[in-house]
Amino acid sequence: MRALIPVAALLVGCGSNTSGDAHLLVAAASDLSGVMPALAAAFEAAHGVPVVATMGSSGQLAQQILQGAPVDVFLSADAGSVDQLEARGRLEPGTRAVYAIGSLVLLAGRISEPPETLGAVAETAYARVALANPDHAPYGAAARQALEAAGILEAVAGRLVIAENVRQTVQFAETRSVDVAIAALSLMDSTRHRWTVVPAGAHEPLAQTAAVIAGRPQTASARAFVGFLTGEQGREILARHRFTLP
Amino acid sequence: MSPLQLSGLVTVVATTAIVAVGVPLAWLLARQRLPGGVLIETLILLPLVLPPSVVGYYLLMGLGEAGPLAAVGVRLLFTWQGAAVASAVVGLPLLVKSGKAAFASVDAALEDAARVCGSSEWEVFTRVTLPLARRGLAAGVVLAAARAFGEFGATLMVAGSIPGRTQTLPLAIYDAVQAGRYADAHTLVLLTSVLAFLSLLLVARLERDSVMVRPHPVMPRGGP
Repeated sequence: MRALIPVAALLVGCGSNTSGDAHLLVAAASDLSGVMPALAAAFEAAHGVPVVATMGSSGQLAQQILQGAPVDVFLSADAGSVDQLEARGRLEPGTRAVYAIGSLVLLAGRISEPPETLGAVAETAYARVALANPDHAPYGAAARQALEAAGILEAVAGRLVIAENVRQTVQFAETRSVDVAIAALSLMDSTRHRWTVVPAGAHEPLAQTAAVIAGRPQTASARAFVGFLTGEQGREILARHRFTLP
Repeated sequence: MSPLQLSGLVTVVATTAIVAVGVPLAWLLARQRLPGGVLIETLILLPLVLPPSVVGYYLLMGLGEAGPLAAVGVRLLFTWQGAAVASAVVGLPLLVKSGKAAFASVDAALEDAARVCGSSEWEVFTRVTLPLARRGLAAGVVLAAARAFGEFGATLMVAGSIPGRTQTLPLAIYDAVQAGRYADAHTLVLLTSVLAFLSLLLVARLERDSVMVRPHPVMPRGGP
């Protein structure tokens, strides 16, 4: 591996021109994968700045940003991952904003009707229940809280299938790899999915928080993006994808 | 850049690095009694059997903010160059392994013959050893390039999955499946499978031919 270092060092020079373009890189929580194309298109039309999105669980994205990923704007599915970055001084001061409130759903998978209530997931018919990894995915953490609040976490513990992020829980349900998935309302598509909404009181609110990352060359565009997201146009697009607005 | 273009770029750069490092290394391991040669070889081959997450972890430490490269101002995490480093590290063992075998199969008597005729060591290498080992080496290069092209796990850890910047073909497939874009995934999976199949076909051909052209010894060493 050491022998590769000079080779790698040589390559850095030719990389600078590719990273110097005017794209805004948005690290977006995976529950935004349905809405990001619309947000990116509307922002580019209004501000002339193309947006590229990299998706993942909020916790994973926060780790990547801490490791130096060239991210301009972070759209988390919770407040905690943004707190982490703020504590390490990685945010432009005063740029945090709650842009949406997320909701959990029970998405039908191999069993074609979704459970009517969260408590019904305890029924043994639901032999495989997908949820996002509670350690780093906010929707997974909320799902675990809700299962615990319903008093069925222990009953279903042996049947949980842990997805890397909430978008993957939807994929598990779509491919009928699980009986039911605890997923995000924003990823639901009425032509493909059947779901039940989990009442918001069952878990801590998913206060989806945006922030501008410090020390990047395009903080002005990044601030404009957060402004756009929390402004009239952004709110309208988010509402269309079933987000609750703050 | 499209995922295919990015994969092409990463593969070409990684393969160039693999050849530059791997060919001399394979020759050294086959022909010289290096102190600790077995240890060096084992270390180089490790990425063949280590889980991608372990390779990714080492690279994350090596290329990250606390690593030796960052100390000299080189930042490769979340760049295509970082993806190329990951691809090179996992591809290198394949060239070293088949390259070593290729060099070892070259009859040392032919090299000695060239020396007797007054060739320098460099001439012996470039005009005798390398041409005789070329089939096996070429097979190793194709295998290493194919592995570099297909690298996924370590790349995801060190380069992320940034569309247009670090999202290579394998990462784009993973992303498409996660997002439920199965039509995109089908196309990319088909493309990748065809490319992988063709590479292996090429390797099989090169290996078969290398057996056929293996020379007979013309000058027995020692003798009565």
